[in-house]
Amino acid sequence: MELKGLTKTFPVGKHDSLRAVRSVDLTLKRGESLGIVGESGCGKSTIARMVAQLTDVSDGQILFEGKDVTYLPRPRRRELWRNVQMVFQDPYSVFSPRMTVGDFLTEGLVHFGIASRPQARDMLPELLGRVELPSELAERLPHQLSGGQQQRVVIARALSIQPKLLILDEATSALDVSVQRQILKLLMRLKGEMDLTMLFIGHDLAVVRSVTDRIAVMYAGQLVEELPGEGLREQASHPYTRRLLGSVFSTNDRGHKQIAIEDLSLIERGRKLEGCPYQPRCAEAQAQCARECPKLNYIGEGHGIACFAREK
Amino acid sequence: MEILSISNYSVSYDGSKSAVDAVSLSVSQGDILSIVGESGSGKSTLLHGILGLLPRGASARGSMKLFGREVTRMDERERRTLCGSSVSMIFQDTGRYMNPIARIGAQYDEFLRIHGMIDKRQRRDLQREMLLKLHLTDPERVLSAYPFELSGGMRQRVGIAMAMSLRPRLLLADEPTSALDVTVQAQVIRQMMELRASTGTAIVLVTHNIGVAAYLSDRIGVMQHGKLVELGDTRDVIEHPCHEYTRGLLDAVVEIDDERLIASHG
Repeated sequence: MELKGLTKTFPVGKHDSLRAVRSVDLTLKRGESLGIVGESGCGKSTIARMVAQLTDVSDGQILFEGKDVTYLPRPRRRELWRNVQMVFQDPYSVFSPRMTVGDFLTEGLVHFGIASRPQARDMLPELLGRVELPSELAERLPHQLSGGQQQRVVIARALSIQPKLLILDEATSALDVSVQRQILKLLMRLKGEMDLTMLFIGHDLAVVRSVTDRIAVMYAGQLVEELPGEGLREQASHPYTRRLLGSVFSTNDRGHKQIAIEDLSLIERGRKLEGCPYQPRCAEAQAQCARECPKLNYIGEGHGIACFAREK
Repeated sequence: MEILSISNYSVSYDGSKSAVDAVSLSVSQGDILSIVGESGSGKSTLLHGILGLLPRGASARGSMKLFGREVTRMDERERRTLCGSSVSMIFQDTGRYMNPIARIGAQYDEFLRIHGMIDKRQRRDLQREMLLKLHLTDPERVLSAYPFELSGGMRQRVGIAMAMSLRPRLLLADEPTSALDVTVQAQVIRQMMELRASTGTAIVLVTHNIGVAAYLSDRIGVMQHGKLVELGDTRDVIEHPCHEYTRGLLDAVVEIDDERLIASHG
């Protein structure tokens, strides 16, 4: 999967528009797991929705296995969905409340003509087993499952048709910590077993880091830094990435961390600027930052940063 | 001085099993106590019980004393005088408790007036002072805005400003940062610590985020199935948890560079 200059603008009123995603370039190789991290409104979910053809692209290109899939006519979208599956934050909203887990799980297989209904039924124990659930659950209704079980079923369904790319949008954010950890472990196991390619989107740096090989950090629609996961703590260099890291509360650093006070009204100003969107909040901002928007520049192996102050 | 004293306090809904089960704890002036636990553990119900804000159909037993007075025996009027002045509460999304069609300034003003601040100029000055204290550098803009015109983080700051205006002796906070972005969460936490330092307000914080609890609080209580299974100094609870459930909860927290998870994908 390759994203080239991907841009999304939403009209706001008659004359204004909001740039939700600004010219993002990203590459995802087969078998790799890429994380996109950022705060609400940074455009991370919009990217996922564009990749999954759930919303139109305003500008730029999406390549899937080398082929341009940016503007697919409706029938061809189905082909793409055969290969790209998505898991959302709230599992219960994905279910039809009166459909049994078994029917829900086999729907994809039947829809894409991979198996007949009886064949798909026979596959149920295997599908459920893959996400460590007992086969009896097939007869249950979604509200009879716990949140963690529901999310496992949603993952099992997404994987039932063996997609080439699995997109997870805040897939563990609504879960309790112990359940979240189990789902993350499950994803890691499945990734190893099925050679999955994953795009994992989240706001929790620690969670995203724990399941991905590479991390892309977004701020106000822009990709501000991209780096290998193992370099996150030491190599992260963009002032915004550093602030994100400084905002993670670990049980290990109680009371020791200093939090610099910020004026929150500055946050909203950034998006309307021509220059770097982080510039109003940035302690290292220079004159250039207000005029021009920095582009992602590669400063090391797989490590790119969009910042005038830090790239030198 | 003891501000809050809870002993053998239980809450149950319609006679079914207890949402809060025989909890005992106390909070002194300037204390910050965090209550952690997973969803459904009863931590929010306990907090709501302090102000007598339990939903209909809930019945409480045991003792819940605020400033030495039994909450269940207070009449409505007494409880109302206490709320907002001596005890304040902030919620996960303060904006939801605001009137959507009234400007922030008007709501803030009304709140102060109801709590007995008669002088108009005094009310206006206090609003500005509190907003500035919470690092909202343009108080005029904030006060003339409608709630929807502010971001969630700014609304939460306004909520905290209002809650702290009358220098309460106890601040109750129910997941005050859970709906916020992580960088804004850090700001709100810093603010709560500043307020404790400047006014000696005691804080009871309910959160599912153990990292936040560990950073902010002097003591941590852990709830499971309505029971307070562990209560102790933050350091002891984090470093030497006694209860098996606490150990499990701490183990489940995903840390940056979490070796155990990362190792599983090589």
